Amino acid sequence: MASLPKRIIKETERLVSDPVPGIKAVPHEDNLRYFDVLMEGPSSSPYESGVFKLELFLPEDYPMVAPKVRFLTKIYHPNIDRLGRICLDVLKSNWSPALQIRTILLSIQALLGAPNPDDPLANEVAEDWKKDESNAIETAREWTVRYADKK
Amino acid sequence: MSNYNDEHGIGNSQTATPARGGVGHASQFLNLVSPEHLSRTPAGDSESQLDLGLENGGEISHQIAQQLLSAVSEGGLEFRTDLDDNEMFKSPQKGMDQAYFDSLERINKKKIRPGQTCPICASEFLEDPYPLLVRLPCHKNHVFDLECATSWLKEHNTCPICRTELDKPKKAVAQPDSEEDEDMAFFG
Ligand SMILES: [Zn+2]
Ligand SMILES: [Zn+2]
Repeated sequence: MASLPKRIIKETERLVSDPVPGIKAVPHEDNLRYFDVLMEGPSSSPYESGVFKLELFLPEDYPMVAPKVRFLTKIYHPNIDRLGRICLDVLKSNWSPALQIRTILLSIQALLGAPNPDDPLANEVAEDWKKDESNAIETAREWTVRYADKK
Repeated sequence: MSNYNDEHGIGNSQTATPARGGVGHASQFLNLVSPEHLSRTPAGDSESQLDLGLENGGEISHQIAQQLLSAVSEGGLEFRTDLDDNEMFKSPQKGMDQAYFDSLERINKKKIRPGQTCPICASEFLEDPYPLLVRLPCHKNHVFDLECATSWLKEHNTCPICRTELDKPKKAVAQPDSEEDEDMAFFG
């Protein structure tokens, strides 16, 4: 395996020594580009009681390209699809190599606290969200209890 | 790739394709950090959560934090693992050419603070006894290894730190007097 770029080593060290509150990212021992992530739902959101599992992978071209991130825990959110894929522009066209693993994880956590059903990529969840927001929030809360780990 | 681009309204035509079955278009996001979007950034405490870990000063972190929050409030593109997403950003007209790299201001290592790192590779500039450093015209502190800046700019035309769109060489003459205003201008 090719040696790990210094930037990835530094980012990993800082994630461990100075973790982001409410987010834990641990690299696999046999693949230091692959991280298991645990993310607490933000308070005052329907996800607040839960801890969500994600996977994060740093492609060969990182940081010229964004990390690949996906929810492994089922979650009811207008910007996250059934396969856990996340609709977030900083993971795509608005990626910049000055962003980091920690900033990406923070922006995903912020997305949990600020669902955006008006996103033109609207899926069924977003439709539900727009039709009856309080009902959608209730569903999100139920899914959190059912699928996420307890905080 | 063509299907993906068509579906997302990316390509020669910027026509938005109607969303269907959860797959929509992305053209709106291409201008995500326009002033209109920034003005819709959620205000207040969540901003302070965004620690970017950059060593170039709070002002810059603040900028990116604003953009991140804006991005969050706007949602974003569909995440697809089955395609090489980055292919679509490699359109040659978006990147800068050799003449541009040659025109960039070189920074003498005497002007570098001890411990200052490249925002792209995270190496300390002064670890290299003969660092080859450039400053982008957007801001006096936006300094990179030439090699790192080149890797990014050959396929993009924005500063990695502040996302300012970089002009082609002829217009890229830095104006020392207007430096302080650059950031504000960026937010419109
Ligand atoms: Zn560098
Ligand atoms: Zn800049």
